Amino acid sequence: MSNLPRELIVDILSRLPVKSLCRFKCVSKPWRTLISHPDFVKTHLHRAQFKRLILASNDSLYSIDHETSFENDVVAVALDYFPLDQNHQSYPIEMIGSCNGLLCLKPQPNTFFVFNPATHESARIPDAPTPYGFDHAILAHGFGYAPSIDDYKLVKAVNAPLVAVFSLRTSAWKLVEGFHYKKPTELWEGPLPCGTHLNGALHWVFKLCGGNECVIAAFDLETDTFRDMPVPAISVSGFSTGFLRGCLCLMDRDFGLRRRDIWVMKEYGVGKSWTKILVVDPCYVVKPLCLWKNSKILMAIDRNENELVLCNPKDGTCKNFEVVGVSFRFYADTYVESLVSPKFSAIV
Amino acid sequence: MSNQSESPNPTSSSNKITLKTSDNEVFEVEEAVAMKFCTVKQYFDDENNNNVTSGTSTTLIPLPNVESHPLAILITYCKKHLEIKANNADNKKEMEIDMEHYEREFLKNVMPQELTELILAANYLNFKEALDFFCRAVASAIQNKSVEYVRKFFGLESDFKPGEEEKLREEFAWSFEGVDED
Repeated sequence: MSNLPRELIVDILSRLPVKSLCRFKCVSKPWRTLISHPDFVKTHLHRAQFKRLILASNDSLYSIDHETSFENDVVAVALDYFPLDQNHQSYPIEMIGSCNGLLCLKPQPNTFFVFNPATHESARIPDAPTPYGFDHAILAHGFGYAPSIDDYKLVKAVNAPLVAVFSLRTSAWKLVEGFHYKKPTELWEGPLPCGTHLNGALHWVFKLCGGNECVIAAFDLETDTFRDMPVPAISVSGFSTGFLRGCLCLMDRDFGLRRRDIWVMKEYGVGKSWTKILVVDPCYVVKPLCLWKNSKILMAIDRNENELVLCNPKDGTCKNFEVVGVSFRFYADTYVESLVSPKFSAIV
Repeated sequence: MSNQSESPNPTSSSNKITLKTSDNEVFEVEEAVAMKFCTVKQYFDDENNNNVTSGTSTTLIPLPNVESHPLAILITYCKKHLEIKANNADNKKEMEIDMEHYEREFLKNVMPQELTELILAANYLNFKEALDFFCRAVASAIQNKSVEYVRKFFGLESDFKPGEEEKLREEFAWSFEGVDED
């Protein structure tokens, strides 16, 4: 292959950014094969050290560098490439999920794409079988990865008991039963909740059909089945779900609260492990995104503002930051660059 | 660090170990340095297990896959590595800063082409920290370089059929923007 053995070439190449690797596919046939190989794609993904934030707004996608200090202005940079022409539309690009470098986007009602911003590859997801393709009927959706079967799935929950599941590996929709939930409140404002992806499952907070209790509905992406998990406290309007330090976390959605708690599920699936982090001040609904620079909790706001919130977990104080460069409201998520192809089924 | 290497082995801290390269050069190094080369350490462990311990301070270890040039550089790197570790035994952050500083200086004196030779030697000696550092160094050396530079660097030739490479280059045209000069 070269003057170095293959495993050392892999060691070196797995440290490179995706752009360099796309270029180096032209070095030779063995290099092209190596860089496209699923094992290498995984090695490279696992080595990806830092995350960025990715924002989806009306006209494009933006990214916020991981070095951003949040002391001065927070600047978001539009991605240099976006496959969809958004100039003539005012509909915001909804981001359903960000997972292993793949973004699941809904640029228009009833249209879903999977896009890898680093490789510029995108694939449109075929329409779901009717009547489940109708947007107005959707209660929630989510996008995630099941490591046990190495598959990415888009999940649309409609009215009980059915959910529609699209597998990137089989490139097909499937209807499954077992969705026995309803909205936590009819007064649910803002966009549809996107499931939080963790441990090969998607998580939302719903109420059980015929009950008044909130539960976490965890959808296992391997087996396509739901499992209920307990929430930490009683809530009228339910919780927004998020991800902190490898744990599932919740934040109360009730409006007008002077203080809200972030609940962290320290041990996955164990109700007793819910732990409270105090947050003072946010009088609106926020969604925990990540721990920024290993110290402060970064959160997105669930309303029409182009702002992010940074919370100091030591004393619960919050500070809002306007994001410079984005003039509309946005969907925010964490993002890690990868070689994973949205045209997943084609390479299997 | 130095304490650790003094106690467990039969050879005492003052002991030197002699390494003999493929081009028949002989290097006498401190035991602590030699023990960072896992291949050498393994050799010792095997000897001890087999109870064929050779005379304490005269051990000569042949390294048939390593030439003297990369070995000399690796020994220097290793000594400095141990020194920085010992100086910052209770401050990991400081250690990392010192190490980064040293590695930056180190790379100023190494030609990129020498790196592959060093990687092969570090790989054979199973000197993990050095291997990681050199692989990182190669990655950052080639990151913004052209396809031609990378071929030359790794001693590769294009084996594409006529037209194939052009097609790939067209497909990934965006990835050829902003490439450094060779």
